[in-house]
Amino acid sequence: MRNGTIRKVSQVFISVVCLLGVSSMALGEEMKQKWEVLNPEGVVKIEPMNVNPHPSTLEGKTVMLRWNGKHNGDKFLDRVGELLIEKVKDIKIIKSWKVAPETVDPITGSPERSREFAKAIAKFKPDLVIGAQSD
Amino acid sequence: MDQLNLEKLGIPTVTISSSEFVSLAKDTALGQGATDLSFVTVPHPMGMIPLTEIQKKAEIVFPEILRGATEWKPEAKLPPIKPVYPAEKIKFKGTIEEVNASFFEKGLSLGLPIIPPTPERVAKMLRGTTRKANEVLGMVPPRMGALTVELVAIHAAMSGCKPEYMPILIAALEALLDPRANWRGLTTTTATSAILVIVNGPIVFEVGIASRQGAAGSGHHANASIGYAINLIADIVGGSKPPSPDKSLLGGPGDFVCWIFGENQLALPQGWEPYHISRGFEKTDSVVTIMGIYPPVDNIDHWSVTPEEHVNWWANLVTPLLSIGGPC
Repeated sequence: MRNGTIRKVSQVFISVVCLLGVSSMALGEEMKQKWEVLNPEGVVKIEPMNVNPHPSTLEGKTVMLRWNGKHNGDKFLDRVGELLIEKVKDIKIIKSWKVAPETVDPITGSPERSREFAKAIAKFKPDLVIGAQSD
Repeated sequence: MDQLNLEKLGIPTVTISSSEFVSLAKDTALGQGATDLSFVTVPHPMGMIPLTEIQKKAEIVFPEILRGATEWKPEAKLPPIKPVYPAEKIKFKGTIEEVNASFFEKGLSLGLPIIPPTPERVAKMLRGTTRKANEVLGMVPPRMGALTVELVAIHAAMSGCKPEYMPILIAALEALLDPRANWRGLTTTTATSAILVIVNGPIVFEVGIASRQGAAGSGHHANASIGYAINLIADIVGGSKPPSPDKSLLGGPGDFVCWIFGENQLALPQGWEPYHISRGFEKTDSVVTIMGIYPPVDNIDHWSVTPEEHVNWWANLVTPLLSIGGPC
């Protein structure tokens, strides 16, 4: 009888210890839960813009080289202009920084000013503009 | 932008870009609706190299420039447009730590913790404004994400704002969306620039915008959470993350939480009126002013006594800063 009682007490004791152990493990871990959240990304909404077709040849055309004032952009375009004159028959090269110096500004600053620059360049009626924009 | 405006005037363009900046250039073009432009990429850098090197770079890419001028045709199409409202729902199972990790991995947060924007939290946030949830305030550059009032509330919830902060948040965002603010330039520049929001009027006191000593520092719930919400919107809705399209060379804390404080209106000297009144608003108006700034420089002057000494000290402090305004 005594051995049986001791065995039962031991079994209960071991069960209680195991239960406490499992509970303490469960307390140490954060519970997973179901979430429903709203996407913070937002939808891109862009009105398409027409991009102009390019001439099939630059022969006889007027090409504006447009420099925005960033360092070496003019030197790069100077060399491009030399090569265009060398390689393309009857091409006319206009350099924006010579004819419209007011458009030389590394930081255009505002959409309105950018539109003004474009209008100043468009006055020369180029068939194509090659722009050196970035660093 | 300049090339895009030429295209709008009917003039075809070829754009030369250094390799480090071509993705920003393409994002800018896409943000204006030009899915394709003729780009020619030059190995970075173009600036600050000798004449012979830049000439050589021109010679190397010249055939490509010629092809771009005469053979280029647009190819890409715009992605289909989804409705801007209501915001899409995302279902997820996990701990709050796992929600944060998932948001960060998907580019929906900046690395600081966020509060998950549940529909209930967002609905509560929307009670802080009378504006309609489906109202579109504008398109956040450079990604041109449509910013609805609901989306503002989502980010306000993520950053821990209280509903009563919504009027300041919406006003600041409307100011940033004004073309004159040049938000695109501010958010994509190589410079260590940040947004500053100055708040005036009764709302400073009503919601507890810090405006005295330490106002731009820690410990101010309204300032911190509103500043965090603005930058969340700039980076997630606007997509301006480094290394591109945000070209910040080093970046700074202002990229996480923008600067925001109130003017210390109660401590103004005799005859000095609050900024918003000097700009034509009434004393009872609550006003926000936004600007792009560089990190501040401390004026540590323990010696000046006369006005001349003070001014000389300021001049010495400001002179090196003038180099920041040079070509960049």
